Amino acid sequence: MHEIIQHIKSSFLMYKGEGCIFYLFLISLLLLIIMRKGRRREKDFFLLYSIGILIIYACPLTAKIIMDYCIGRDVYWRMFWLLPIVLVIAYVFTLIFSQIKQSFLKGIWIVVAVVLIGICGNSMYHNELFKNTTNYYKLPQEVIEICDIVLDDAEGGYIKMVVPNSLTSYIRQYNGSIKLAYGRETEKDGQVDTPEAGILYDVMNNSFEDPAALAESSKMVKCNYIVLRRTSTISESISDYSFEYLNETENYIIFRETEI
Amino acid sequence: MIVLKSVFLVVCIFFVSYITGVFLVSVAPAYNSKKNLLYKVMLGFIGCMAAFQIISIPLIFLQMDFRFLYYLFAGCLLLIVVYSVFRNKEAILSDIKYLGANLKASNWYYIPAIIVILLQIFVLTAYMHIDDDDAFYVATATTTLETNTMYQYNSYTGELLEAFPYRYVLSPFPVLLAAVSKFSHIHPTIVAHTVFPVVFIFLSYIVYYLFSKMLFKNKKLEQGICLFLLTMLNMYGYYSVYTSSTFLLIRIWQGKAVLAACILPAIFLFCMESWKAEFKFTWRLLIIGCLAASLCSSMGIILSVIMIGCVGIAGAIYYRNIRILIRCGLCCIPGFVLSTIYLFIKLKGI
Repeated sequence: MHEIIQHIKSSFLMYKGEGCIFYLFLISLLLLIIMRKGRRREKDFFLLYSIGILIIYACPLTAKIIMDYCIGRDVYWRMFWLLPIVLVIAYVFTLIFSQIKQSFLKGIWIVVAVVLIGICGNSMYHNELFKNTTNYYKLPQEVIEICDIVLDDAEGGYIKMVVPNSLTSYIRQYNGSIKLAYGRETEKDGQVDTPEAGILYDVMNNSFEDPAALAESSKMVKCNYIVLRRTSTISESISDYSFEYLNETENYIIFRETEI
Repeated sequence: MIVLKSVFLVVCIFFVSYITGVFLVSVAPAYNSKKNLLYKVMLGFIGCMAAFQIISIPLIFLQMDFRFLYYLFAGCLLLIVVYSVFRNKEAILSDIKYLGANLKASNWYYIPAIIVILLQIFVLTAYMHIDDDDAFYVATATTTLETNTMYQYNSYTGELLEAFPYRYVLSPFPVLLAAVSKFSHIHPTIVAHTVFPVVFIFLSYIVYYLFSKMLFKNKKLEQGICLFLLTMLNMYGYYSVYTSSTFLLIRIWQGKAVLAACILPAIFLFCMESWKAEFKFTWRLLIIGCLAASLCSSMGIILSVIMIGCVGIAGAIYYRNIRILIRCGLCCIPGFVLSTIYLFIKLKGI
């Protein structure tokens, strides 16, 4: 029980984040009870529904059922998607607007409302969230360059690559014919298609780089292309193990298997 | 060329959605009073998603080719569009006249909201946000097109899967992305990152517009203010990465984002309409909403049931009518069926 309650609290704190928009929502719900403006049926709908969802969320019994059998504990915060947070706040603010008689004060209220939203929330438009785009796919340009180099070389033939973790998320978004030894799920959950792919992952991510082990484990999973970072210490010695230099980009070097 | 094709695709999507909406309204006489063109666009879009879910799930389990699903779905849509255009000529012409009259009237109250909406769409189409979850969702679409199969190959690696990815197979939103990509001959990653933001942000704000229209009937100024405040609340919704506003304005091309930002609000709209009408007839739309939600994400299967269930319980108490709870329960049948299949697959390890 204690664990469930802790989880309910932590999910709430995760969703609430750094702003006060959720509290603005609760205040708006209270105002719905007090305000005379607005149609009764609609106000009752917002109130009863929101209270119902909050009860389902906070009640340990329903929380346990939903967490364990429905959506999972890690994403219990998604229950807040059921709450009409932005709708209730906008509705109440507009009701206040319509209650004000003077046009000048109506204008002041709109400014106050927007400032209040700005203070309680956080703007979406940060440099950290959006970058300039260099291609229509909206993938790192270097991923496209690497894939195009490999596709040109393979000329429609078999391609299976092993790449650094920084590239695993993007290769197959660009081209579904390029196979990977392991994907993002390996870094995230440790899942691999075969034990050999797991060995290759460990070799690629070992702080001690071993060109022989890398070449051997790549061949075990039938990789015919290896991509290494420019900073890799084995970018020259890998050529001694049946992988020859093919091409390079700004941050990566591409090798292909010499024996086919 | 890609820009032109993308614009054409957006226009096609909204056109097909509108015609499907006209069809749905025509088969349900109670909705004939719904002259609103945007309502039909929203209803039609969700109807198309529901239809895709019904058609795709059995074909995925039967391990049919993706192309078979594509041509079957496209064929169904084509039939509906052709039938609807011929059968509902007057309704369509009436909508166009009504739209024309509306545009001529002074609707400057909506201009601030429209400017912010266009800004939000511009940022997401002109700039890029890289999300690692696309390694599965978008790669599933590229894998589907490459292999002509559905959920038989690992999207992360391209290798043949040993078991069904039960967590995802009941919500084939990436397969819908693949179908849209095949139709338009645009790469699925481009469709996801450039076209879908335009479509789904518009769809989300259509839902919000319909809310403001319902809440402030015949008060255009209040409708405009309400919609404007909604755009600002979304724009300042980054107080955590988990809000529906964050999903709307940063990663809307993913199924779970569409669920949070478009489908759940649409189901809520249907719930509110049903509530206002004392659940006399609008409640049937909840079934379509439930199916569309389950297409987007496995979360949608459960969350839509919780939403409709909560509304049903509240409605039954408020109106003192147990039939309301029964009707809402009936609407949740798709959710119950899919949840049962999900649990069965999970337990059997298929």
